[in-house]
Amino acid sequence: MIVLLLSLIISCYFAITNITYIDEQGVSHTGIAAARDLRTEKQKWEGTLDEEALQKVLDEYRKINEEYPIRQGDYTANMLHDSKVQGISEIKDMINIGFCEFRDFNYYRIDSVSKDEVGKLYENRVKSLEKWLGSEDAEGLFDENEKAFLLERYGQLKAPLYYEDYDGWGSVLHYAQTIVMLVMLVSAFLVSGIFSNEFSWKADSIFFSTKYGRDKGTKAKLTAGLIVVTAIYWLFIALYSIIVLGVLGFGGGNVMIQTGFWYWKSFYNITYVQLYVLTISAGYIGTLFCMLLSMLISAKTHTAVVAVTIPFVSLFLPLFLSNFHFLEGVLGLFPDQLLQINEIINLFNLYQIGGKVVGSIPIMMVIYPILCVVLLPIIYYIYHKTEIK
Amino acid sequence: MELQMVNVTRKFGEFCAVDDLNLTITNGVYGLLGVNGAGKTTFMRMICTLLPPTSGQILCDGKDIFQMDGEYRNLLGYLPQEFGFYPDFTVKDYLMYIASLKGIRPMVAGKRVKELLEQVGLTKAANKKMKKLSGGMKRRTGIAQAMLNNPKILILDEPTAGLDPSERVRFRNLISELSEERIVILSTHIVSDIEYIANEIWLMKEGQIVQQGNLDDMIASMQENVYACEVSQADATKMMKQFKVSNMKSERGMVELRIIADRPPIPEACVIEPTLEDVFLYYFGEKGGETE
Repeated sequence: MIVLLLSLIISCYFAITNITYIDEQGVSHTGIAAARDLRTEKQKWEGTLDEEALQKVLDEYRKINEEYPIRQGDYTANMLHDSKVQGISEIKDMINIGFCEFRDFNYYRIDSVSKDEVGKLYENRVKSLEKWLGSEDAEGLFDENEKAFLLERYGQLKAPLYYEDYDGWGSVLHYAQTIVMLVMLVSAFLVSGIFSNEFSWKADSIFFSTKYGRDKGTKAKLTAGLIVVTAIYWLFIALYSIIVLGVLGFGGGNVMIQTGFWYWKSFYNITYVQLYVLTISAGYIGTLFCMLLSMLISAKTHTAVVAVTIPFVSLFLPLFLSNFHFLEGVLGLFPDQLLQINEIINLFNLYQIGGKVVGSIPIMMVIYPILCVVLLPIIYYIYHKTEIK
Repeated sequence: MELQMVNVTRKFGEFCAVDDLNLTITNGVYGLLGVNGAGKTTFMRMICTLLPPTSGQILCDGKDIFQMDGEYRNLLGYLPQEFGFYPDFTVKDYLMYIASLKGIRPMVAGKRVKELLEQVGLTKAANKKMKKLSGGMKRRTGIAQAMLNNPKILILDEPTAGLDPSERVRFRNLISELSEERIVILSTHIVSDIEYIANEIWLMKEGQIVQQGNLDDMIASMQENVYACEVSQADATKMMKQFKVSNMKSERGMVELRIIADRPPIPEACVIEPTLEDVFLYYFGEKGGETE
């Protein structure tokens, strides 16, 4: 728990200091006041990012470039430039990525975007995907069904996008996976002994010879495992979210994740709040699944040694297996993926079920809760039928 | 209460730990004697539903104990040979925990724990952590947990192992006290424990009960006599190779031997009254316990 508390403090610190405000003198600040000042700057650009708004951003950026140009090696001048740009930085990056080739990113692409073409930002997003899918780069990666699916999802994004400062949600998502993984690793130490303690203390014979040892006792152990995982997970996620969002602000939750740079290419058309809910729900399901797997192993092997390694294996085995390209499809559905939804959301992990194309996230969000439910009676049965030889 | 073992066999791979056992057990104290590896613990674990037989049935008042499940275990109290405990629990907490596993309501359990702590002489140690108890105190806690549900069937596997003589005497008395109106099965290789408290003795060898009855029956079953004689050290060494020697005592350069044989080992040897230890030696041999 001390490890978790320390991790919580460190994660909150990084998430909060991730947001930097640069004042008029070019000095950068972090913290509550900095977040508030940056929000004030961004609020000026709040609204629908239609052609007119994008042109205004372009005008503003060019004006800043003229008044505060970037100078190679001049730190103060560059900080002053950034100070002026910070209010439109996300929209600027969106234009940068939107007018690059699909797999490229040019930080200065905005410089060559004309006022006439900037309105084609959303149209260009679909076109660049279409172009890439037809290129040699994407050859063999997707079949026609999948290409059609991706283009359809891109086309379904309601343009123009609405913009509002979403730094709080962005930051909370950025470090959420660190907290989720740490909670899982610490929980493993707590739950892996639940089904093996009796054996390590040689108290198994008495436990299993009592009236309720095999049934209610086993159910109580399962319940204890579920309570420990659930309580720790939600307690730490709630603390982390409240602290980070409390400092950086709850605004921008209804902004589509494609607004800005990070999730521009995602084919999941959802808002920041929805992505947050998805991230923490998937994290919980992934953690729960790994913990149930740990409990199953400890119930079967009667030792916590192997059980405690399950979360580590879940996290690191895919890294090792990723060298085998033929496993790519399966790896996209490994439980570790549930712990890093904010990264997976950008990937084109597609699967076909009965000819219907589905992303990996909806599949995992269905499969893993079912697996968790299936694991419960299996653990119960294995422990209930334990023989003391 | 009647416990019946019908053709009960338990195998571990090729090894047959309990071999086609047929027994009918009613209220009373049963002493199970046998060398290590004779199948005593397997036999007891099967009675405690910790291990199902490979074949055969164990019946409690005519019902299969594995089908009775919790209903049967409600009748059971078990002190295993390796009595493990939860090191950071106090004695009281431990007993309350086991009471809850035995389905005893907390109010009733509280009273029962108090009574039993008194009975086993652990009232003062009630709030002591289990890891701080002496071997004897742990064993007494073990018997207390076995007695929590006032079991009709009490199974004690090597209950006096590791206890000093005074604790053993105390423990034996405690078991005698608890043995009324229930089945008590006591497994040990400390022969004197059984001699004192068992109404019926079972001798177990290679998974089978080779002899059963009370102490007199056991002694009567011996086909050989027990002789006492005094010989020199050199003769004693020779005789130990020739006969089953149940005891030897050196005094003033001579050795006093207790020998089980079908004829006098020396003409001066005199026949003496056999004990259960002699019976044990007669059936299992001097090196009976060293085969494992």
